[in-house]
Amino acid sequence: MQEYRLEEYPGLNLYIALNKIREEQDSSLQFDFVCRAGICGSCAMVINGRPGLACKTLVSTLSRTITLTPLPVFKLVGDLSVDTGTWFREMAERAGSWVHTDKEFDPEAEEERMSNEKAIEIFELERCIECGCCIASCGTANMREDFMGAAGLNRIARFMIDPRDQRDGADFFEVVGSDDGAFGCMGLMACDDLCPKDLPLQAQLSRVRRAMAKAAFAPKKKVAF
Amino acid sequence: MIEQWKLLKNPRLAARFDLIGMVTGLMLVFFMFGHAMMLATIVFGIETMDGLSMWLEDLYLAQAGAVAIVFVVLIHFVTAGRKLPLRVNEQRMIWRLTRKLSHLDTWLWLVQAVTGMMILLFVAVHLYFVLTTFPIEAVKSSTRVASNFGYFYAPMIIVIWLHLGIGLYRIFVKWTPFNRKILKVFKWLLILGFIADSLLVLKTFWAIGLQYVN
Repeated sequence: MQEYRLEEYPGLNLYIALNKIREEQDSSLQFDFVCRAGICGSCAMVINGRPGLACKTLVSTLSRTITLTPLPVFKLVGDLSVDTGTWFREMAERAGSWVHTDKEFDPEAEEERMSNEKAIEIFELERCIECGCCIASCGTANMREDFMGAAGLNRIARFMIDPRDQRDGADFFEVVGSDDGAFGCMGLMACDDLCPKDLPLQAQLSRVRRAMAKAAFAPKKKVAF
Repeated sequence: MIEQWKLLKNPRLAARFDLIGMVTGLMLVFFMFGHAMMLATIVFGIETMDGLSMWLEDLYLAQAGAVAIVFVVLIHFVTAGRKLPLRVNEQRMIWRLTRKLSHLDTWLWLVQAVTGMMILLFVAVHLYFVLTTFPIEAVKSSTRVASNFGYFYAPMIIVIWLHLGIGLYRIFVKWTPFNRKILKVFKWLLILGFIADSLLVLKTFWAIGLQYVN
């Protein structure tokens, strides 16, 4: 653990503080950032034991001594920098994170309409910035590397409510109807409490769980080989 | 290429285990509500409690209930306990996370896991003494409590209601979209209310038992 001392001033956030340390004290310090505005999710790290975004955290809200560590679960690049990209890409592939449809795409046709309420509901879940705070604070994800976590289940919920996605309960069950998916969640809800974007994660986790329990008792599909 | 272990895997097993864990948990919650209410009849006097226990025994409900509850507890332990960190590495991970995160619900999950283990021991001892001294009678129970067994039942009461309250809260959190702030209030009301009620009942047993022990 390395120690740095920095003078605090009003409005100083962790992102600025880390940049000052890198510019003035240690040019080798590694941490990620892009947007500086809580949009990209790159600067997620563990701040005094709790995952959060450096750019959204004012130093004045923390103790005099601040402990920063990299997010657990993800591969460590160095210092505070972790590789969330590989994890999220694998998760997106497992979740089939795109609209599944057998309709042929016609670039000339007008986009299919959906109700405003439905569009808002989908957009609400699309606000996930993939910072990884929910994964880093999840008991199951910390113990079991195959668990999709709240980010993965939120992604599934997003496609479940999308009327353009033709997958049914049995299709989604193939993806998340296991202990690595919906039934792996132990209901600790740190993800819901610590999400920097205040996504309604508890509602999505329970939505997917209920749908998967229903799918588990639906008649089995006949599959011909 | 196909990963062969996946061919042996029953994809519906996790869902079934999860549901069985929840249903058996709910069954035990309702059993405990009933158990607490029946024990509370001691407040109305020895005759009231003995009348109720005689009625239960005449219908063989007490005997059948005891056997059924043992089975439900064991099924609940196997299905709900399958997510417990059994490997040392997992235990270290969850302990480290819980300690650093300062997140009450994560701490309470740990409390639930530990109290679950403790309940197995408490229930085994409790059932041994109840079943080997059948039928259930108010004076018998009171003298057992007063002959220092109250020191066994007091922590048992706290452990059981903590486990039950946290478990019921987490069933609602996992399966429903209800507001967690409201659920948390209900959780603490239930835990503290039933601990207070059960300790009061224990005190009544103790007071009656002391008359007979001495």
